[in-house]
Amino acid sequence: MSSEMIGALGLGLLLVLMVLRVPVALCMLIVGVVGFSQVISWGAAISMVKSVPVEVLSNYSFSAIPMFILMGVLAAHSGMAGKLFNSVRVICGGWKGGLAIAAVGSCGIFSAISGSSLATASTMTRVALPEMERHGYNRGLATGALAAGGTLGIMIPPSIALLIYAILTEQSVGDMFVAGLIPGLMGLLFYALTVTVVVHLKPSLAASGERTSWLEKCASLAGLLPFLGVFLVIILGIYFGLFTPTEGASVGAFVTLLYALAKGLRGKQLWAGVQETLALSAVVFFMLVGAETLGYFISVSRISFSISDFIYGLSLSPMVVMLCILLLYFVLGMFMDSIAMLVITVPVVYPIIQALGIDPIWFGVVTVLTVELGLITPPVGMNVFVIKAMAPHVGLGEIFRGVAPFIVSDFVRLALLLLFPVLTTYLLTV
Amino acid sequence: MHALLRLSRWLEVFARFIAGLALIGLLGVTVVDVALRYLYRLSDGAFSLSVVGSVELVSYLMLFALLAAMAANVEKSQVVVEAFSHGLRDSLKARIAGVYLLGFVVLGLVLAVGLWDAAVSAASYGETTQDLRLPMAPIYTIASGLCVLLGVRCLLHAMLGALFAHQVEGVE
Repeated sequence: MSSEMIGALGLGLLLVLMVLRVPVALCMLIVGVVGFSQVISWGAAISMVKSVPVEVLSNYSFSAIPMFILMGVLAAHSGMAGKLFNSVRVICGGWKGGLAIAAVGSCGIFSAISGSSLATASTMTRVALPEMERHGYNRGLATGALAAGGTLGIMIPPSIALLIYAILTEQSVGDMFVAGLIPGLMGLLFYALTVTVVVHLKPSLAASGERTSWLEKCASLAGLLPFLGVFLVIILGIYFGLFTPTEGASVGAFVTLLYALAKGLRGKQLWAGVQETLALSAVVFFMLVGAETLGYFISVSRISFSISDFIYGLSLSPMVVMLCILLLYFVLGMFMDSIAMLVITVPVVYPIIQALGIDPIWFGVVTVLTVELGLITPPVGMNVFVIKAMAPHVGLGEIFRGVAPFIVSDFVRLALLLLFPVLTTYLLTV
Repeated sequence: MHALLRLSRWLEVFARFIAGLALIGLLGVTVVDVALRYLYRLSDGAFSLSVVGSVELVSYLMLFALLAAMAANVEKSQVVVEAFSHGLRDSLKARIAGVYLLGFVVLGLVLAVGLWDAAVSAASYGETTQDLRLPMAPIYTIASGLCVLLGVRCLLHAMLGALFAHQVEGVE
């Protein structure tokens, strides 16, 4: 049997194992090891299992992942999220649907130091949902805004998904973060517009909040300072060459730790934050170990090159190929976790992108945005499930209905990014 | 079942302790390294203290932190595709998850053996790390021990799940 055929069978087996509820990390490990043994030898496959996890877990570049997670966890534990929401609420809470806009805005700002969509959604739901319910907001709109707002964490830098994509494709982490900024801010703006349009069409969904004076609005900006401070320390530190993006994650976590200490967070709470960070990191690294093993198999089987040659032979335009790949991501996103999807597919898809001469940074951003959609689309929308877990009294169907307008807004944003790549690459040229 | 749970809990606490210490160490090394570099720049080279081998230290601390974290959280850290198995009973899902955890038992043990072999080899050849010249044998030995911990906790939870349908919260 040719190595390409073994590669194709391996990818088929991967899907079958996932359908059988085998953990995604284990699926990749099994397929990677068995496939590698069939293409090379069992001895080589065993050697690979002995070395690959150690390589991944001691890879210096990956040290940014637990540190970004720690930063988000400490921000949540230290009450930064509550202050943030209160500030944004004072600024726009008086508008019709203002609390939902405040929730989306808070999610966007929180994600600027969190890097994780799930952390953003769960933290902001805890803070903003009771307030929206108290003001008589429709539960679908309230939870939909939070689920969608939470997805901003995957795009607004620092983003763990962009970081993983950069490492998998050997792109500059700094460039990926810069490229994600405009699409992330567009998401924030589009979600706020979505709330406005929905409330305009159906005014009964949301009430106007308390009006506030300009003085109060200005005073409330103080609540944004901790976020601005951490964000600026990271961005300016990287920009002025004081530290690398990888080190920036640790510096950001340290600054957040200092804030948490200043706010009275002590031993037990800090240790709980560290343990939460480790638990979340374990989820990501189990998958990265599996993905690296699978990547070796894909590499030796040359399946990705065969697919690439096949697509190249069809003489399709790069845009058509791109759309096909994004359609694949959209469908996969309905069933799979976003990070799992990235680590499984990028090694297969990336050579195709390279062969077609598509800008890998633009592709990465567009891919992450499509993956982000998977967080709120049925039947497996992780952010929706997180919100359901935090608000058991709201029906799953109600949340999915509430999130539907935001999915439309994401499609508009995706179309704009596809039609105007400059939106992604502009900041890299400045 | 209670004895297995108690043993698993005890090992989890131990693994969490190691992971937590290593993570804090990782953070500390990077921050001190960046701060000293900044001071060096500010003082135009007059203050020339630096953390030698910081990249190396971070790499090994991360290895310990993550191996221990994976050992402590293995049963709760698995992402599964739930879309096609919504209808299954929770007890059946727990049994299936238990069986699949055996895969991680194998991973833990293969890794432990591999790292142990590496430790023996490093000890006999006097292998050291590149920058700090730390002996590699103890590093491999600790990592091997953490892999054993991963394997043992997986085995305990495989038994708890497969035999007693013990349920843990996972990621779906």
